[in-house]
Amino acid sequence: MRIAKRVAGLLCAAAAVAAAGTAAAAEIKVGLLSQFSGAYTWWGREYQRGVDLYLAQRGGKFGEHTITVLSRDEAGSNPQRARQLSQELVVRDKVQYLIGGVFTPTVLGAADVINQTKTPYVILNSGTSSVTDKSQYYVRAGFTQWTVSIPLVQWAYDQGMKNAVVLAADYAPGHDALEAFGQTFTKLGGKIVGEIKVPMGTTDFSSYLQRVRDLKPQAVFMFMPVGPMSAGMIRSFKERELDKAGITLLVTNEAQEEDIAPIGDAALGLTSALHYSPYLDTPLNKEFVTAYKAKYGKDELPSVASVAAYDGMRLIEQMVRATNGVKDGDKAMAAIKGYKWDSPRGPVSIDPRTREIVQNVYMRKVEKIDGKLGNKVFHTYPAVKDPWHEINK
Amino acid sequence: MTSTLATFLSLAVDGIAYGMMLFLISVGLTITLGVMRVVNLTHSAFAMIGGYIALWFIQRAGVHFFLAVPLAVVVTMAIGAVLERTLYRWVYGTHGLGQLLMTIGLTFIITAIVKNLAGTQLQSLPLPSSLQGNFSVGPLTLSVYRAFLIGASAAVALALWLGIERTAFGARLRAAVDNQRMARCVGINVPAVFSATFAIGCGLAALGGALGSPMLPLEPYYGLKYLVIVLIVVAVGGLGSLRGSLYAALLLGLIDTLGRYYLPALGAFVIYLAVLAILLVRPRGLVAN
Repeated sequence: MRIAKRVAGLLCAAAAVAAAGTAAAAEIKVGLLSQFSGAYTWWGREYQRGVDLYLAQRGGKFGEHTITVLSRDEAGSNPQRARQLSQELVVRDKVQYLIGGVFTPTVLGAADVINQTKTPYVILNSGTSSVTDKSQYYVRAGFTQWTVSIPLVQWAYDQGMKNAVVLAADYAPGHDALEAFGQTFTKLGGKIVGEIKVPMGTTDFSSYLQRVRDLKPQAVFMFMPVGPMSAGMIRSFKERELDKAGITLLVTNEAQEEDIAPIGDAALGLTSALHYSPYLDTPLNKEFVTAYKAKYGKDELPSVASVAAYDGMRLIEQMVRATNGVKDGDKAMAAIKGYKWDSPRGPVSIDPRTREIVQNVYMRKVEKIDGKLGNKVFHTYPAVKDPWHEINK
Repeated sequence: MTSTLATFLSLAVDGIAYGMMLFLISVGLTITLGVMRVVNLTHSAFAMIGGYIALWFIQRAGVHFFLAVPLAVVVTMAIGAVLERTLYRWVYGTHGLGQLLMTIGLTFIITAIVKNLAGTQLQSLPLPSSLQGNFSVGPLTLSVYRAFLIGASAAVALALWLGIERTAFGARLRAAVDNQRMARCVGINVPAVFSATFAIGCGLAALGGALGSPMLPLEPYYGLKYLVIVLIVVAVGGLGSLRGSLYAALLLGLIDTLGRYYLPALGAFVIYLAVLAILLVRPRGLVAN
């Protein structure tokens, strides 16, 4: 009897060890934070698509580790909720990594949680450069507004545009954009002849475009939140024939395929600078777009959001492999500092000092491609480091 | 003509066009609120419905713009009439806060339905080529679309005035507004008059929503987003006064457009300062009832 009990005890222990052994190669959970309700559901859909596509291509596993993604709804620009969600994900659901974030406040909402729990957070959106300074566990797979604005200004100056107006929506990212455009252009030798701040929620842009006309610049650098404001401004600009008056409108994210579709043909010829276009003509991107269309529909197109999510999962794979599936925030972050790879958006790497992504920025023009409005790349600025961090070393 | 004068006139035309569009959307509400004493916060949602239906006619049924808009107005009037006979019976049964909650709830429901059917993407009616482009009047460059908007709204305002002052229906409506009990005694079917007026109000909102969609793009949250400006026009104009809402809409459109140009530091706040000033001087609106 006693021997049987002993043997039973040993067997249990052996089973436990075996179970623990296989648990090392078992499930790793990743928390995805995005917008799945309200006016910004597009971001939720795109992040989910990028994440799912990457996992499907890896058979749902990184090495021997099965990856489970837990998606949570940030529900608007709500930092308290983001904090609560990230806390629940890390503490209760035991995720090893966080990925996502659509707005700067929601990304920052998780800062305390990731600092205390040493959980790496892969930022997919939020164009504010200073975010990565708030925690050493932040790594950015998206872009910053400075990264795409500086090449735009450089390009304009190189085209011979020497005076410009900066036009931005009157809120924090808009002010950042005004600063980025203004400082850079002046440093290059150009002259900012006017700075126009458009209040949030404006629907009638007559007054602002009248002012642009009166100032007679060669270029207008614009920054608007994507939505009725950017669509309305771009359309009104064309309707008032300001382009025929010799003024070039220059934008960044406002020209994304998803957002120019409602503007219609008035968007043709719009010049923008961004770190990705689904029409980017490289073999890797063509493969990516084909895979995306195969999985989500032949009329669907990837965007900066899905490509960020796709690359974000690549970073997480690198971290999982480096830590062998064991949660170790510091080891994981060390593994991706300086990490280089080929993304659908071109060759990219993570700057070891700032944990920002270093990527190409493309100059694009809106054209009709296969009957739809799309951004065609006509110039590349390679390996752009986040300029804000370079200036504020 | 100096360029400052040209700028001023150009802005004035823009302001009038904006104001006229606001008038179209708001006039129905001033009637419902002032005449029928019903707090109908769903009103701006009817403007949105009109816009989306016109869009459907143009995009899916291949109907031309100038036919699609009147059709959308008729359909929205029908929807308004049906809702008035059914849901709004409950709304009439309560007062103030109850009506507010019910109609705001209805707005949320409409928002959700539209989001499901049409998606969250912004849309606006594609203008026919006859309404596109600009034309010159001296040194001024005016957009054909805005000139059309002003013209169409003025025609509607005139038709409304004639309808109220010169037709039998208008006389019945005025009687019902002035003294409901007496009107009933005289044999006027007051509920029927009010139902018809409600439907007309919805139709006007639909016209404003459809014609105004290049300026106020259609999206599911339209009903909530533009509710405030519509309420401002009604409050400043004076409840129940058509003339009042016309004056208020024009005044606010001009002040907003001119203010944003000449006082950019105040930005969007100019219009609220103006509203404050007007209501302090005339608390019951420009044309008090």
